[in-house]
This record gives sequence, structure tokens and C-alpha cells, in this order.
Amino acid sequence: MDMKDMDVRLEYQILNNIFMKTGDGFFIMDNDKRIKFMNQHLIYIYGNQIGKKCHEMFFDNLEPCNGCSINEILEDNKESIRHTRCDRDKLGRWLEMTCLTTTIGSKGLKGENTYIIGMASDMTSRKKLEDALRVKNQELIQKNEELEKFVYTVSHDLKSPILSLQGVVSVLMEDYADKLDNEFREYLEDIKKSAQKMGLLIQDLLDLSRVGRTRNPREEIPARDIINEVVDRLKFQLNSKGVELHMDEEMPVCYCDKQMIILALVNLLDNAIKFVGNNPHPRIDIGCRTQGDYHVFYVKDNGIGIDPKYYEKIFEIFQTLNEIKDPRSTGVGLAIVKRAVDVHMGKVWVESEKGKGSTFFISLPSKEVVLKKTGK
Amino acid sequence: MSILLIEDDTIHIKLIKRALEKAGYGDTIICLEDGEQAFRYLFPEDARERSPLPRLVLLDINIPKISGIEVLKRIKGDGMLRNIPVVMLSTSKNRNDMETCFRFCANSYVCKPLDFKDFETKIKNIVIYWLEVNDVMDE
Repeated sequence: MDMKDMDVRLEYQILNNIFMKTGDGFFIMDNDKRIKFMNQHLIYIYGNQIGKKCHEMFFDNLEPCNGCSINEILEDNKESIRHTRCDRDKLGRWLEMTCLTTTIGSKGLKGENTYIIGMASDMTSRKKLEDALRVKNQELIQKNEELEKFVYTVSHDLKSPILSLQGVVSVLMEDYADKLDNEFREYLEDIKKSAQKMGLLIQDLLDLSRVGRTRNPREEIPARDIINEVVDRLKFQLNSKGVELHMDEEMPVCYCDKQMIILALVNLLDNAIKFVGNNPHPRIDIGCRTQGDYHVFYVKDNGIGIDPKYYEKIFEIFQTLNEIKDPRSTGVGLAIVKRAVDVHMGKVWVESEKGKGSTFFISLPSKEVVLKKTGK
Repeated sequence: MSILLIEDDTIHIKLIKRALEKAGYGDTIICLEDGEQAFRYLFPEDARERSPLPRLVLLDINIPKISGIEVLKRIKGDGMLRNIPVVMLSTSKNRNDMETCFRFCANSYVCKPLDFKDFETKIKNIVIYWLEVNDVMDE
């Protein structure tokens, strides 16, 4: 035996060992789907099935299984066509079968030398885990829905007593004005302020739960229309702070749930108006640009800026920056933004320098990316 | 000329009454606190016992026993009563609630503002609108 024969023999032994002893099932079928060869793993599970057809060996089916595309593969007479399916075998195991056509020797006219190499992997434990995960996921979805509903109901039911509280205090201050001393009046003012704050908080919580619960269909909408509406809603606040507002000339058409993105941007612009603080020349830039497959909205202010250590924290619920002593701050606004953006498979982030202003960005995937990701 | 207020929150009743008094409608308000009372008042078993019909109904959505929506449906389904303007009151801006109310022919839907001044103004304006500007009862 020369060296070449030795090498071939060695190579054969190695391949044979891998083939025979691997933990997955390997088999070879002819073009009539008859088993010509099976490895030890398969023999151990199903016994010797040489000569039987694959559907008999795995599934006890006398006829080919529904949806089997091996015939099509053979009819096409092409090499290396892969066919994968996952099914439950006759022993109740979940098998992932991968079949690959191959030609051994010279190919006949009708593909008679075409063989099929098959690999059967036992996916039972993975399937069980998948099932368990699916159940847990479903439970989680249900719990989340319950929680959203709870927040909505609680917030809604709390609105009524707040109106009562504000109303009664207002009546006292109006109808009994001449009987109230300054201290009493101050206490009433405190109650009124607290009730107002609670009202804002409840409104924000309602918005947050609404973002989680409602989904309007996405539509193609010019970013300019969205920004115009956002600016329009905060016109009063912009004017009263004397903010110089700059908007992009050109803006793309984006693909989103219009109302949800308007809500997110209203929160960002409202924050920017708060951030510009005492700057004698308050300026806010707002717009939308295309970056690759994304449309990126931005809101830039020349206000107090944010310390980098708070970049992540500010998007958590009930987080407010101490610098902003605005009684209207509830710490829910950026959580609403984050949730709205998450629902859109987008991103939100901030770039800022203390004392020099902040820019908040929202990136939303283009229609093509959304359709690809959602498989529509 | 009376205004029928169907509302279960006693403080809201006081506040609405006060707003109406300030608008000059103080003597005309009849208050009922749940849907059953509203049914008995508007649809007595013996029609001869029916009280004089109100010119305007202010109807809270969330009232005990029989909901505001059911009361609305009954009013708008009644040949004699359906021309009475019904203004629905709620603390919610829930779109489903609004759609349901308008589907059953509510004339207005007022979301009670949390700020009391806004609340007073809104109540006053809506009552003036239905009683003086758009007086459908005379049609």
C-alpha cells in the first residue's frame, strides 16, 4: 500500500467515523427514496431500515409525506438542492430533516445516479423549550395588557376626584376670598398646585398607556406635516418663551403611526422649550433627514444641556433632571417617546454638552425596512 | 325650561350647578344620580305621570345601575324625546366612548377638563349653545 492509498484510507476512516458516530442521524437514499445507508445513531433509534423508504422509516407512512419536496428536487434533476422540514416522527420526536441532492458517479439522463444525503436532528428538547417560551411569552403579553389596562383605568378614575379637588379649592378661593387670610390662601394655592401636578401626571400616564395599547396603521406621511402639527400644538409655549424656531427646508416622507410620532415629538419639543431655560436668545432647530434606511427626526436646543451620565437614565419613567424646575415636569414624557419609538422599531438618543444645549434624535425605519422586518 | 343633569359624583354636581348658576340657569336644574332614576323620570310606566320634558340633558357616561350610553340610546330611540339635545360628559377622551356616543346620536361630547376654570367655561358655553344658539326643540 503506497502513501496515497494510506492517505485515502485514513481520510475514509475519519469521514466514516464522523458519519457513523455523530450524535445526529445521517442517511443516504436513492432517487426512489429508498434508504441505502444509515449511521449508527439512526440504527440505534429506528433499527436497520436499509431498503425501506424514508417516509416508512421516520413516519410509518406508506405514501410520501404531505408537503415533501424531494420529488420536485429530483424532477428538477439539479444538484445540491436543499430541503428542510421539521416534523414529528413515529416515536414522537421532533425531527429537523435536511436533505441535499448529490450525484455519485456519472449522472444518467433521468438522474438515476442522483442520491439524497439526509441529516435528521432531534429537535425535541428545543421544541419543548420553544413551547415553554411561547407559553411564557403569551403570559407576559397578557400580564402586560392587564397592566396597561390597570394603568389606564386607574389614571382615568383618578381624573374625576382631581377635578373635584381643583373645583372645590377654586370655589373656596373665589366665594370666600374676603374671609381667607394670607396663610390660608397659601395653603389653598399649595393644594391647587398639587392637584394640577397630579392632573398632568395622570394625563401623561394615560398617554403612556395609550402608546402601549393602541396601534394605528402606519402610513406614508410627509415629515413636514408631522412637524407642522407638533409646532402648532406648542405655538403658545414657543411664543411665550420667545423661542427662535428653525425648521429644515427639505424633509422626507416617512412611514409611521402619525399620531404616535406626533405625541413623541410634542414631548421632545416641549422638553426643548423647558431646556432653553433662561438663555437670552433661545433657539430650537427641528427637522427630519434621511440617513440610509432610516428617517431621523431631531430637536435641537441651545439650553442647559445634559450631563452624559444621564443619557440613558432620562428615558426611564419618573426621571426628571433637577436643573429643570418646571412644575409641569412629570418624568413621563421621555418614557412616552421611548415607547413610541420602540413600537416603531426605531431608536431614540441624545447628544448634548452641559451648558451648550442638547439634540434629541428619533430614527424611524423606512417603509422598505419595516415591510422586510415584519415579513409583509 | 329645564336642564336635566344625570351625574353621580356629588362634587361634580355641585360644580356643574355652580357653573350653570353663574351662567344664569341656576333655577332650571333637575339632578338625577343614576340610570334607573333617569329611566323612571323620563319613561314612567304611566305616561300621564311623565314630568315636563327637559330642554337639555347633561348625561355622564359612567353612572351607576344603568349606564349613560343606555340612557342615551333610550332617549334617542323615543319618538317624543329624541329631539332633546343630549350632551355626554366624561373625564375620558377615549375614542371608543366618543364614537359610541355619536353612533347613538349624542349631540355633543364634553371631556371634563381637569382645570376648574376651563371646566366652568366649557359647561357654560355648551349649555348656551344648545339652549340659545342651536335651539332644535323649536324645529
